[in-house]
Amino acid sequence: MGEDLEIRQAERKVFSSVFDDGLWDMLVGSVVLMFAVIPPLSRLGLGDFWSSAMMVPVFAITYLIVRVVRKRVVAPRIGLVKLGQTHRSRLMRFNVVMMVVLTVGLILGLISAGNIDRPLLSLARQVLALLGVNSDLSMDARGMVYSLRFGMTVLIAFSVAAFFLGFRRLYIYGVMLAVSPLVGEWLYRNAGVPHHGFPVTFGISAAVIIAAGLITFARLMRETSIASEGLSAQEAPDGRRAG
Amino acid sequence: MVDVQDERTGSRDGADRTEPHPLSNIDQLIHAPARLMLLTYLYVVESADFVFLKRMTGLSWGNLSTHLSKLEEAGYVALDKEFRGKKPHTMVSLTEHGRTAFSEYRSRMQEILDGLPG
Repeated sequence: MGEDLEIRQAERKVFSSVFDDGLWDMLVGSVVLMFAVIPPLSRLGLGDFWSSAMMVPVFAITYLIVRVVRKRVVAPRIGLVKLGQTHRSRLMRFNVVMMVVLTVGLILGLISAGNIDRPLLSLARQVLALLGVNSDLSMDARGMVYSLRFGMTVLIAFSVAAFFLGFRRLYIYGVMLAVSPLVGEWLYRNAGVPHHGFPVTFGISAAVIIAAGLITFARLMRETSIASEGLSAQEAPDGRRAG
Repeated sequence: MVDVQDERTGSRDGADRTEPHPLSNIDQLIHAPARLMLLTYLYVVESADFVFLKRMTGLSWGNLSTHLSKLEEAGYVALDKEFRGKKPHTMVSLTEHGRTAFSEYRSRMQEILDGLPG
């Protein structure tokens, strides 16, 4: 019977039922979309700061929409649940590990701004050689180091999220986002795609993630209906009413 | 030699009269599949409403209500009823008594299954 297995399966099903509504995918996708949109906006005269700053309200509005849809559309369909201790500790561990990963990523980014460390430079040269890029190695290597560092941080962060939250598609998102800047760099060097290829690679990644979210959300809407507590007389075998 | 069949167990020699079948010690209230399913989900959460439990278990409103009433009568679950606007809303949670009973049920079932040959 595997009693512990049954309990673990129930825990997984509850967790997945609460969080796997596709809305979080759409939110992540909208953040990724910003990486695709900011570079062209920056070159259009807005500058790096303002093109990035105008994404904050866009993200805030998207987040608010997600919260409202969760409350008004999703919650009446999936019902209300207060998670148990196991789930709460799992979320707590996830938050702590995620904070550590993102903080380390941020610190590494700040330390190396304008100062590329040698091991990563060497690794970048090897990756460039594998990609067959020969032009202006020092400049290419600098871009590759940033891309590698970003890719590694994103991959670790998404893998941590996939492990703790139990959503396997987050591993795929992590890999997609990790290779996006590297592929973008390659497209920039070899195919002349502007803005280091970010609009193309991050745009495709964002489209895939948002599409996955939309499909998950549509499936949830199709499989569930707004349920209101209570039952008909025909349904109640003993004439009792729920609630 | 008197060959008397045991009425309760069906045993002919009465040798196992002092050894009741392990399943007879199982809590029959929990053993019903629908109630077992409900208690399993309630065991892993703090509380959940009817809509959530219905979705998780696939039971009809009528069955869900009936099984929860039986569990409530046994003191295994607590029903916290309220109205949200004009709609009834009930949060269900496992009581300490229910948690203990469920844990005991799990241990007993595990013992029985571990004792099976093969």
